[in-house]
Amino acid sequence: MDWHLLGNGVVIFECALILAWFSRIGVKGLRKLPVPVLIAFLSLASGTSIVAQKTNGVNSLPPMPLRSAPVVETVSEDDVSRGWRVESVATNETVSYTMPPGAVHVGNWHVHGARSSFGNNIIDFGSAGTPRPTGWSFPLGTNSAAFSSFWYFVDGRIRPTPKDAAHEICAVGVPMSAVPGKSRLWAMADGDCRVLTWENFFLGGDTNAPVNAQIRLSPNGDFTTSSNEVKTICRRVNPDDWDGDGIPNPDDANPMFCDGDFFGPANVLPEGANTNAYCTVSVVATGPDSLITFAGDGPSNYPDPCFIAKSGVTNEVIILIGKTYQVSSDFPVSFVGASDPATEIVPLRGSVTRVCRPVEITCSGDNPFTVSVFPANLNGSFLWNASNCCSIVASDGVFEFQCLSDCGCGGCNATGSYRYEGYGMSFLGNGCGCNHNQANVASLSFSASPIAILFEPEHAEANGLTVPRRSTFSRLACDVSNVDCGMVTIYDVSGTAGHLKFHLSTVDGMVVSLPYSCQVDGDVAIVLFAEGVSHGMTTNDIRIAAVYESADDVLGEEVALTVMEISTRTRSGHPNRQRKTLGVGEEVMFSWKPRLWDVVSVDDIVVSYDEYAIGTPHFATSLVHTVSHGGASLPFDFSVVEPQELSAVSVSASTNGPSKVAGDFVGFITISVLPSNVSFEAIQVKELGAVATNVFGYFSGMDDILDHGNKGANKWHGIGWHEYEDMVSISQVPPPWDQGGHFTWPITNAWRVTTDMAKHFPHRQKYDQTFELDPDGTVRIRKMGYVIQRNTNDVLTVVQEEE
Amino acid sequence: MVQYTQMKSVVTATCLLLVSVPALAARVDVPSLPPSPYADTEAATNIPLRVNAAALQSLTLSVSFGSCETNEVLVAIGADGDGDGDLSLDEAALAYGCDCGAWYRADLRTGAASAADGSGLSIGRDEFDPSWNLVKVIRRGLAEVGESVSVDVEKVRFDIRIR
Repeated sequence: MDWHLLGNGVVIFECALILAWFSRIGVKGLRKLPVPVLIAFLSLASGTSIVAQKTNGVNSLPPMPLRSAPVVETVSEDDVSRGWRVESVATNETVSYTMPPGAVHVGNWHVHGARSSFGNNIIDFGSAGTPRPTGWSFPLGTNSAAFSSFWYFVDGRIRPTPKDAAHEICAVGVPMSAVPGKSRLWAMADGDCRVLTWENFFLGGDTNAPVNAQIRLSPNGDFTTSSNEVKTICRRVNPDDWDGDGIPNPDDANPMFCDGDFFGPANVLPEGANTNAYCTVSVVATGPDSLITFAGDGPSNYPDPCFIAKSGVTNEVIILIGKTYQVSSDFPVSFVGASDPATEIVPLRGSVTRVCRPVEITCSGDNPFTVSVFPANLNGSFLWNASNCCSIVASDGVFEFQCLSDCGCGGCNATGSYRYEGYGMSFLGNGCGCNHNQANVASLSFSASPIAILFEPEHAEANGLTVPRRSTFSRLACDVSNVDCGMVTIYDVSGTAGHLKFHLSTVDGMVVSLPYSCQVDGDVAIVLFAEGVSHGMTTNDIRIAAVYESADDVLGEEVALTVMEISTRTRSGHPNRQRKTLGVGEEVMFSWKPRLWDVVSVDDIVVSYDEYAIGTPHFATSLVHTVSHGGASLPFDFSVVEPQELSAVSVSASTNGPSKVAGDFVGFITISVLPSNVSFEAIQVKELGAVATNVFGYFSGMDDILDHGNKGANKWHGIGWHEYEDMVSISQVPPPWDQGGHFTWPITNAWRVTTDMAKHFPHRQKYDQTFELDPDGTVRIRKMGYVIQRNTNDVLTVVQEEE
Repeated sequence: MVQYTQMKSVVTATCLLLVSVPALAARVDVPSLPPSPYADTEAATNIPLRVNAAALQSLTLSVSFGSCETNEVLVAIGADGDGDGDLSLDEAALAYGCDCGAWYRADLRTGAASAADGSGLSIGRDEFDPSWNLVKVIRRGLAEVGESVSVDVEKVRFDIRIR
């Protein structure tokens, strides 16, 4: 037998087991590795080991004011059930398996070796009731269980009890053979940790490739298993935050914030919910496991579902009747049914589908009026928004307008809100004619057709002539009602009428100059036509006002108004009237020019702007906002985008500390939240704290600084326009530096619109931050493609790494 | 009392398990332990157990092992759930034996283990599970150790004796 080949085969088999372990815990990236890469990974088993240098004197290092960010490791169901997850696997570690002085010789394995695993194989680290209780225990599982003793097995495993496979910790996991007189098991206390070591065993009957195994248990539930040069670091799954994303399990369980803790929808209705207000839709992930997000059009007691759907599994998802959801997924999904046949499932674009079981709200009657809702058993209530002049009161299910005595004209169209299950559905109530409450108050109104469009652009006609930009022949009507004998005067208040000409009705056929006055006797309608080019050369800049003056010299009411110009303007950062792509939560202003239905005195004909703002949804979507008036409507299409990634724009660094030292500098990274053509002023960004990886040399064992969560991570930072400043720093690093060292904080970021919960960036990009110490004391920090370095001769440099 | 002596090698040692039910005057001769196929010298054998649980008063596992100080012998009892004729750890319920000079009994279902004396493991009627149908005997130790096994007949309805 070729013992060398067999030995290599054994080690490769160990690595294969580790790979299988990876696959089981759901390291998706590893699953996707092509076969040649997997083979290459296996070949690492025969690679050269590196002697891991352990540092001395690290306890004297002062706490380092490090800051930056962290990791979100999504745990699998298996991880949660057994209580720990694999953090890293190294294949070239050097671990000492030789029993040191002070260790406890548990026994020679020629006696305790037990292929059949039977025997009184208990290692006790000081349980209560033993001769020397230590109080030491090891928490295992996502409950409060902790253990001071374990049953051990010859194949490098331990369990709390002999048959508790669910909480097994395994260093090797394949049969080993004890060698009479050579194999032994020893245990020792190493600080707060407890170490159990299988020394000098053989795999199966092979006596040519000795195998060692070791399990190191930390009282915080973390542990490390080693077998020859393979070292696996495992972290306890926090019982309160299974996936370690900083969001407690109850919130993770909230489907809005689920990011991997659960498969399938939570489907837990709030306490006291009206079950009649909910229905279900059935959705299946037709491709791989997929994150499915239901983004509703408003808050409700029942949060919007968001969950990971296992491939091929039908998920019954509860939705709130009447609420409109935009459903998106990262892999293909298919809707296969709905409990309520009235549910509308409409594919929109890409992987987005609109899902809604509509609610119909109908107003009947003028004043008073009634409102009916279908389905009728939603158990909601009505709220009415304040209108310009009226309020609506309810009595026995009947609603009535109550208007003020000085109510202006134009009527009331109060908007109502039907609220149920914490959700509000807006609708337009019936309008009332408020004028009946006004005695001897004149009413003047203008209408225009076509409304809002009073020019046509330069264009070529069929005869080849180019027609310059000009106004169309638009009809303006001034209606005056509820008047006695008096005078109506029409003004051009734009002051920049340019080449516009005004005509009276075609009956009169005359060109008039404004102001134009005419005597009236009772209600009258005056029709004007406008043509020509507006002087301002802008859209819809004609402004007309009318004044009614009664015959008894009592000033009447004046309506100053005309054609509306509606425009949009982004509100944050750099106001922009053209931009229609907006960031989540960004506000956009809608402006009228001039003001609509403006009632002013005759001596104060002032045309002012009126505007309102809307905030965009907190998720990526397409948005159409329609402004309607006088029977015409003008839709505005917007695209709302979420932050996609981060990019370092510039980096600077400084140091104010003593000279000729290592470290002690601060770097400032200006980070842009992409895409940069929108404003993300409404969002906040934070780095998610994680424990360092790639720890080596000087920094080994410095647990305080290795946990990014202790050093500035997990804090929200506001965004200005779309940039913010990230500070990275390191304190002075005392010598000796001769062994050098490094470590890396794995960093992913989360974002939120200020009042929301955290969301991950779409691809969970890594923006790792690496700290490096050279043996000559040079210290550098690498992050986002930049390197900040300080030499002990006080030279501080910032360079951009090559791609 | 019947006394058996010798055994020059653990690997080639034989073990006799006698099962007697005085009321029925039954006796079962246990086959010898097979040679160990492993470097750690472990040898084991399984003995089918057929007990009329309804008539059982108590069952006693008695083990005497001369080289207990440096070796190990144990008897485990349980139900052969997969029917393969071998009592695995997952199938075993109780274990009793001597480990490097210390007698112990262990409830493998709960992981509770406690010190015992060498007088045997008595399983009362209430403790006996009618599904138990297999006894496994395991011995480990270096070669060239002398050992002897004594068989005691207890005043119970059912005895298992190991040689």
